[in-house]
Amino acid sequence: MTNEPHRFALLQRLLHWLMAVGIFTMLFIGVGMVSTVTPKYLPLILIHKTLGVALLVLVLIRLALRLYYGAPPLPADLPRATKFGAALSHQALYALMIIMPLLGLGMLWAAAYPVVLYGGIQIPALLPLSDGLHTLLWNAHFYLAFAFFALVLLHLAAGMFHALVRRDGIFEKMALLPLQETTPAE
Amino acid sequence: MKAFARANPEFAAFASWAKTAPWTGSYAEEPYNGLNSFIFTNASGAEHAVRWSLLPSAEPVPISKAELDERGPDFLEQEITERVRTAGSQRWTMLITVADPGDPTADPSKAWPQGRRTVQVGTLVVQRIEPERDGPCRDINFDPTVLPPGIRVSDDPFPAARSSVYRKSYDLRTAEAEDYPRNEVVKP
Repeated sequence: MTNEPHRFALLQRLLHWLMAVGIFTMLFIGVGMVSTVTPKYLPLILIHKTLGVALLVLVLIRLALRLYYGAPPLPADLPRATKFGAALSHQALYALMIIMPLLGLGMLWAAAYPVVLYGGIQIPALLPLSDGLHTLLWNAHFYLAFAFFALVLLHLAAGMFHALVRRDGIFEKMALLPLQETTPAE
Repeated sequence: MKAFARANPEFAAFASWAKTAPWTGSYAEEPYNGLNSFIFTNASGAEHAVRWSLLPSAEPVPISKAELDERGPDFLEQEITERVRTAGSQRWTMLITVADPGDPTADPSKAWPQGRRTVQVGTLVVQRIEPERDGPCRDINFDPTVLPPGIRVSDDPFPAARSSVYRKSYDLRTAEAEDYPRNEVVKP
């Protein structure tokens, strides 16, 4: 045994799963709200904006925790290419978690929409009205959302691969509770 | 159009109004009646469903359909620009009509019965007319659900629908902003 932690800190694990639920919700609300003209359009938009800003705050806390606590080491027998892919996909996930809310806010600012969150919280505009900028940010928010969804699915598939196929303890590093290890009949 | 009117019987009420309404030759002489209901919250926190109207200060001068037909396609735009420039600010009184319990707040095609309580809540003063072309109103979206504190949407489903489609339309047209008609730059 070494002194290195064998899993992420509790706060990191809590934030991971909280944000996982939040991000999944965001992706589906995002698609749903632009496809409806019914009265639920307004609460969906409100939730999307409020949750988006909340997730931006949470990801910044999470990034700070990651820099402070670090991450538990990967198993030594994991292929180099897999380690590289993991690092790359995790960086891309962090980048998207930070950039998606900023693009969302930016596209609203560039259209001069007042950004009012749940509870009447107002976010002041940091960009001027600009139709060109609005279009650019809107397109980036829209297309990156699908890339984000694809990456989330890849992340989920990799997690399940480690948990169910490889059973190498990587999933348990992020699991909220220690999995009840029922020793399978060999 | 006929198929639309058949599919939407509420349209008949508008069609008969549009044929018989008194016409004037100026935006400044017209009353504007909002069809959508909103919830207003008063200072003591009580909520009321209301519809608003803007009533003109300028005396309406009725003109005939035949007279209207003779005027140019943009005469209302030209008239209001000229009127504000020469006669000064134009005013409308903002009046809200308060619904009684049971009034159809969710259906903007249905008028409320006469005699409802009205409250004068403000005055709209138009001091300057900005043209749409290259003007400051072109690049913003008029969203009927962007409301100040004290006003919120009611059970009327139309403001939400309008918000949704106006946003879509805004996204599409700002993406083509390069192709907007622009004022020609006068060459020296």
